[in-house]
Amino acid sequence: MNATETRLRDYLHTQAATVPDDAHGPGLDESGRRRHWPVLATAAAIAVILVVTVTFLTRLSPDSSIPVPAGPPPGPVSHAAPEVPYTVITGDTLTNLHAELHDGDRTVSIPRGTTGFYGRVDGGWLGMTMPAGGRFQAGILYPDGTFRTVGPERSEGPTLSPDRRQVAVIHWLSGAKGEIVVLDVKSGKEVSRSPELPVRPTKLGWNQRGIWFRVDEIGWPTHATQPTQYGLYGWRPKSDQVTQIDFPRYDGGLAAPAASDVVALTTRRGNNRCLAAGVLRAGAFDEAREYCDVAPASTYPVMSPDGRTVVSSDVKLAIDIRSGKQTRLRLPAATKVIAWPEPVFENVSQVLLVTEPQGNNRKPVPQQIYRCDVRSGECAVVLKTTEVTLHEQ
Amino acid sequence: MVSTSRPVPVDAQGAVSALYQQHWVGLLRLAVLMVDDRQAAEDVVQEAFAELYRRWPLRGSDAALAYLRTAVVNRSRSVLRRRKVARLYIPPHQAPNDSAESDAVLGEERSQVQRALQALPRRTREVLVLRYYLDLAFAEIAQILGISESSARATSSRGLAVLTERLEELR
Repeated sequence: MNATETRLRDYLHTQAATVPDDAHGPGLDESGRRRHWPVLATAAAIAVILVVTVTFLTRLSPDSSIPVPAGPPPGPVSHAAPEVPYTVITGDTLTNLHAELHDGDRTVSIPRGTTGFYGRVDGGWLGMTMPAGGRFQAGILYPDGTFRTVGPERSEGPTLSPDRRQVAVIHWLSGAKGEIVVLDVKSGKEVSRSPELPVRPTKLGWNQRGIWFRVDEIGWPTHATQPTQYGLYGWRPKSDQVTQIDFPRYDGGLAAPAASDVVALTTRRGNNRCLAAGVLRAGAFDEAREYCDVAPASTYPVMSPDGRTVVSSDVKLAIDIRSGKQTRLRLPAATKVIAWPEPVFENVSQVLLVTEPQGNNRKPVPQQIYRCDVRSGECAVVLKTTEVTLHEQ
Repeated sequence: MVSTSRPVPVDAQGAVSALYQQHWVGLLRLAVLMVDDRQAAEDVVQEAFAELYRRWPLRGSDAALAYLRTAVVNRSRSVLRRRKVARLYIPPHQAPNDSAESDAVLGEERSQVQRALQALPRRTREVLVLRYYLDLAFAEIAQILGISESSARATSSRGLAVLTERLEELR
């Protein structure tokens, strides 16, 4: 054995020994217990429980508030650069990554440990910092490369308020507990704090109706024959009431465009994965439209800023929520749309999607950003690159 | 997606529980070496057991450990890929454990090995961990990674050479 082998073996065994012999796992039924937390939490934190009646497929609410299609007819789709921020990663190992954020004519080298990006704010971009030591905190990356932290440490999932003056974060508390903290962007001061939640949320959305959030309730292996369960909740900042939206088909995806009160959710029907859109009305989720596909690889809700159109990227389809009209996005058949990170709308009628060749084996993977008009389905190549990620405006 | 119709044998839970008791620590250590983070490693191992439970029984009583090791390697690979490409976003519980505290625990010599190992391509790192931590034969490594034995052997040899160069650069 040579010196390198000796050092390698020594390192591996030392690092492995950080897991002591007497360590033990959470057990086979730990997750099974966790999934029941909403029931246990009812008295403590959940003030109102709403039971939702869901109808099957493409029902149109008679008095829906979904915006009526409007605007000029679609023209040619531009090849111009993306109007939303995007990042490009280079490097091929964990320690050799370099990333740049592009936004119009601005390019910023992203400091190591800075991630995310969830919208333009305060002259910069809302993101996360994750320095060494397991710390994580929301903040703003500025064009000069500096990063101003916002909110408490051990917070994630920063989400802007509809007016972009406030940001909500998921604050990790002890154990699995958490809370949502709302902060003023300019001053960084706390504006509101939710009741303590027995299990911290894993995704936030903030639209005209308030903050929506998802909780993962995982049920294996005692419930291994059942799909993972998700819970959907609502909270208005400065309120002490958290609302559980009892929606059994909810499957974890959530999009809540800021300018609208419409939300898009993912649902399941047997082997089908679906997108459902609707509003919270009179204490219930009023579903305006549901679109299902037979066992697609993945489904993420991608919704236009006005809440009028939802895109199913896996099948390259745009669905008008009010009319039900389906528009096929005319992307090359040999391309695969990257479902996650999700496509991003530039405006109410144009969406940007990242594609890569089907069955590609080349490294790095060549990618293209397409701009598609959801009214006509016409698409145009905007950028050819690798390892690109689109961000919200 | 998890099937809702596939029956799980009545003894599955007992069998998987026994394997869990027996191998959880070892598999967690393997996952830690792959993803450099305890919490992410625990998730990887938990998911591996969940997968085993759903597929139980396996053909042959000795197949379970190999299956679990393969599942841990594959899921670790997913964790690393997600770190790299998913919005540049590393969920907090998956943040790499390359802290100053970690350096203090490992010491400078070992930290150099850690950094050099992290800089290797994923497949090379997997082969070296399986070879020099688990002391597996190249045939077993090939089976876990789904590659040929000769490829496992060559990857190990090349990886060790690159590691030697990197360690010399770090001196």
